[in-house]
Amino acid sequence: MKKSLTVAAAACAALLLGSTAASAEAPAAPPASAPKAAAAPVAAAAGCYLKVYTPWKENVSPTGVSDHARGKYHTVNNCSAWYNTALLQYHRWDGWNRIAGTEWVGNRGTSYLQWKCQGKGTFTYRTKGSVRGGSPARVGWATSAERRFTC
Amino acid sequence: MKRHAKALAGCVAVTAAVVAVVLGLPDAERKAGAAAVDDVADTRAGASVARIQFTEAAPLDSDQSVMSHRKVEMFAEHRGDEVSTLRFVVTIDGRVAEERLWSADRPGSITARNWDSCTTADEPTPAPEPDSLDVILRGYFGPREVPRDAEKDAGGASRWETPTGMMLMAYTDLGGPYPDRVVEIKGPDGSIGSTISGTRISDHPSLPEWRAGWQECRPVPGAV
Repeated sequence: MKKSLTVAAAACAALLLGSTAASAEAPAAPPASAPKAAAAPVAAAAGCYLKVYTPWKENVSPTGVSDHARGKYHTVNNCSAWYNTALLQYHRWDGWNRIAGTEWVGNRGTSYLQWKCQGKGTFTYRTKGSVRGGSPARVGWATSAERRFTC
Repeated sequence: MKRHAKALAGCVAVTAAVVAVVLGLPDAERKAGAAAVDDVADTRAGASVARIQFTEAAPLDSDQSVMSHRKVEMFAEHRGDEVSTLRFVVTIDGRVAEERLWSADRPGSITARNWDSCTTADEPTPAPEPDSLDVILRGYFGPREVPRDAEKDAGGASRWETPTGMMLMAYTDLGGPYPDRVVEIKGPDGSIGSTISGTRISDHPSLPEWRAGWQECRPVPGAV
C-alpha cells in the first residue's frame, strides 16, 4: 500500500488520499449533493462483488482551495481474501487514463475515497475498480458512470 | 451558427493564423477563394489534413510495474483552425490497439474501434469538443504561452508546472516551435501517471479511412 494513504478505522473502513485535512472521523455519509443514482457497475470475481460509484465534487471552501473529489467503493460479498483496488480516471479524446497516485487498495466494507484538487481545471472523471484473487487466479473490473466537474 | 460566430471572432482568427504558420498551411485567402468557387457544396473541399503524433509512456493499469508505450496519431481535417473530422490511431508497443473518430457533424460522440477486444463503442465526447486545432494542441500540450501563474520548476525557465483539476501538468519546453514540449501528467501525490513526448506535426495528403481487416479481427487473449 502506498505510504501516502491513511486508513481511518471508522465503522466502515474509510480512506483518505492525499488530503492534508485527513482525520479519522471525517468521512461519514456523502453530502446531500452526492447523487444517490450514482451507483454502481459491479465487478466480480468468483464470489467477491464490488460496486464502484461515480465520483463527485465536494466544495470545501468558497475559494475552492481545498476542494476535493470524492468516490465510493463497496464490497458486496465475502471479499476478505481478495485484492481489491479503486482509482480515478480522467477522460481524454483518445480514451480514459489512470490518474497516478489515486489508488485505493482494500478488501472489505464500504470505503469513501477522497482526492484533493490540484488546481483550477475541468475534466470528466470516473472510478475504476478491480477484484483479483482466488485459485486459479481470477480478475474482474468495472468502471463507474462518468461525471464532469471543475476544481 | 456556432462556427460562424467563432470564425468572426478576431482572437480566433489570430490563433488560426498562428497555427497555419506553424503547420505550413496555405493562406486563408486562397482557401476562402476555393470555398467560394465550390459554393460550399462540399465542406471537405479546400480542407487540409494535419497529422499530430506523440508518444505516451504510462504504467499499465493492471500491472503498474510494467510500462506501456502508446503512440497516438491524430489526423485532423481542418480549414484554418476549424476542425471538421478528427481520427485517432492508437498504437501500443507497435500494434494498432484502437481507432477513434470524431466528426463535427456528430460532435457529441466519439466512435471507437478496439482492435484488442474487436468491439466498437460510441463514447460521449469529453469536453471541450476537439473542433479546433488550437483546442486540440492546448488539450495535449498545454497553452502556447507559459501562463503568468505557472510555477517554475527546478531546472530552469523551460520547466514549469500548472496544477489542473486533479492533476499536475509539468511542461518542459524543448526550444523548438510550439508544441515542442515534454508533458508529464502527475497525480495528486506528485507521481507521474504518463509522459508525453516525441511530438511531431506535419501535413498529410488525406484523411485516412478505418484500417482494413475489421471483419477478421480476433480478440487478443485477456483483452479488457
